[in-house]
Amino acid sequence: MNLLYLTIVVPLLSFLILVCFGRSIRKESIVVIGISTIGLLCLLMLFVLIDYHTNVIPDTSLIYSRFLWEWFSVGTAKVSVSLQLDGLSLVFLIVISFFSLLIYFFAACYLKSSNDIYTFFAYSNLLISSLFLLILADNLFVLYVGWQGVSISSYLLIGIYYQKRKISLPAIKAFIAMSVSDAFLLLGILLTYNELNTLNIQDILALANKNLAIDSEIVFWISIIFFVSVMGKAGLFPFHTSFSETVLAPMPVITLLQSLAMVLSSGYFVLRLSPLFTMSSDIFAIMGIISAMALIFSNCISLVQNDIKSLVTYINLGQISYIFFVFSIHDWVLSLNFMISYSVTSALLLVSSSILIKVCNGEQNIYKLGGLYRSYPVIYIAFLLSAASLCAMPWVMSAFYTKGDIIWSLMMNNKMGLGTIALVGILLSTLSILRLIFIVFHHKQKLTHFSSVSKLSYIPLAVLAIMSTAIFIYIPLPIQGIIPELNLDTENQLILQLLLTAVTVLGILIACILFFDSNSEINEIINTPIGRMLFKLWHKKWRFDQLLKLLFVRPYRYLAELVKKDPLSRWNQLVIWGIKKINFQIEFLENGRLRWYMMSMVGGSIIILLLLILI
Amino acid sequence: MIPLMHSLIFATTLFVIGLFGALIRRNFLFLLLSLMVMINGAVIALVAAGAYWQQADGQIISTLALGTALAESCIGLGLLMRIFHRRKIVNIDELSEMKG
Repeated sequence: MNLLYLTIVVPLLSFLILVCFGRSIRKESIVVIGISTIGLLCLLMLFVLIDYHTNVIPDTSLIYSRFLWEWFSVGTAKVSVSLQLDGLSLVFLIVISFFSLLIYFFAACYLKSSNDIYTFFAYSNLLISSLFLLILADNLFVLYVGWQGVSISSYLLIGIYYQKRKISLPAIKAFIAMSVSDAFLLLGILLTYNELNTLNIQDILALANKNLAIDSEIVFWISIIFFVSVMGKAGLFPFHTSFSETVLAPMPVITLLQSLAMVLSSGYFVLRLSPLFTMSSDIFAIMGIISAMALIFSNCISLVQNDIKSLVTYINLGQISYIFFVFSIHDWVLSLNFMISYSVTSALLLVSSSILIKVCNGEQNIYKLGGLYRSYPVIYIAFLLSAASLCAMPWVMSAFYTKGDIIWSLMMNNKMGLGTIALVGILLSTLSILRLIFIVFHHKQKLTHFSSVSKLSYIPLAVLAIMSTAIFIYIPLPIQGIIPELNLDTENQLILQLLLTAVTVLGILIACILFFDSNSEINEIINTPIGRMLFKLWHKKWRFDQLLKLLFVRPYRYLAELVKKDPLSRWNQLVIWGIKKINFQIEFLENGRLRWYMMSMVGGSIIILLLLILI
Repeated sequence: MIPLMHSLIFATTLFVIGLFGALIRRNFLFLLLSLMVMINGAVIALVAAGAYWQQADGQIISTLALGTALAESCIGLGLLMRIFHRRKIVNIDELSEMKG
């Protein structure tokens, strides 16, 4: 495990090499550098994993920590950079390195121009390096550095095509949304330090348990601030800007960000600090409500989108809210399981849709495609698998078990409303993904020219497809004793499973009726006044951007206009104006006539003499 | 013996007349004449003061001042002739090329 620090250094070094020399080397070399970096990383993770498993000493609860150096010390506060590995971080590290290997491989096949590949590999290396730093950090300050690194590299990745103004501005918008999350995290860290006088995560958890009262005000504030920060990172409902703006990036970037970076970093943070969150019960109610809102919000949008990229993005956004559903019933193990399942599903969906877009010459509008199931059966099957995963296909897909458990535990925790919304969410996401599949693969064929895709890019697809099935659902995760476990009552769960099956079948049926062939029923629904209004509203993404504009951009611009004139400099302007005025008045005195000067001198001296005599 | 005050009033009157002449007239010749009048006023004041204090200094300075006046009027007349020869004018405002 002495190699652990290399997991951060290797991608960072690779990032530096690519940034410094990337423009001048050939595409093949860039690919070799990128793939070898991630290969080395996976190898390192393998060593760490073997080390971890052979290192079973009963007493130490499997925590390995390594002090690297002291960063700074201010007064009594000492911030040291040291790495810490336990079962939880190990799970995250393995998931991240494995998935990024797949995505890197996919990107190498997918991205054609050397410039894209160079920026992609460089910035993704930075992203992975900061993710590893975030996960291995043992104090909140180092974690904050990793958190910031994720923000910055996501911004760089989103803005890969930064030369287009249409992309650079939304990228900045996403960056601002992520910065809000960063600012909240910093606020939370400072508040925690103020209360507990330590930044070390283990110490924080121990001290919080000992010193702070459960449900006290300060615990509530700390956890709500941390939660807002996590929401901002994961792109949950009010902060989904950074998540939805990822559609501007190339497909591998979207996959990397949506299915790995944003979700796993925020999920890790919540799991790491889960004992702190557990101390406040209000926060879980808030989490539940917000995730329900997010679920409805994003699923409705995904129901009417025409662009494949944004459709898939909003489906993923809806899936994220399930993670927060699990958080809200503090079943941390289940949330970890669901996070992995989410990563698989969303990566599968994104990879298959990127191959689809590639095949169709970059055409992203689903209404301009059609009838592809005969010519591209592999993509069709991949889409069907991801759809099955999204709609929790009974007893086949792993999502069935995870989502079923989520809904079951919601219901068992007397949160019937949230459980129902989660069920409705499954129905809605089924509808939207089947709409995509039916329109793209079954309707009349409109596109005639197709481009070819290298066979290699189907390999990640196959791996992801196998992983999304129920084979991997019960892998033992080494997290005993690190995060609190909750034993689910599994009695009578069959009823729920049957209910879930019914919902899935219902969803498929509705989708078949509405979307299977281009019929008029859907138009009838849309053409009713309410339907038209809702369609417009959802198509415009609930007019959320306009709301943001109204709430933040307009007042900001108004203030900026006000300050532009600088009220404080009014005084200076007044002085300048006065001087100019007086100058204009007495300018005629200076006319260059000697007699006039003499006269004024004489007049002046007469006045002075008179003053001397009279006074 | 003329009282000092009288001669001083006379000198002041001469000086003021010369000053006003210098200020008001535009003709170069009259300007020179006015300057002479001013200097004469000053000379009278000097002589009167010298006579009052029974000292020769006033008269000595007055001869110096008259010498200066002579030189000045020579130069002035010479300039007047050159200017008149060149520009056919004696109005000094038209000659003014000084601009602040």
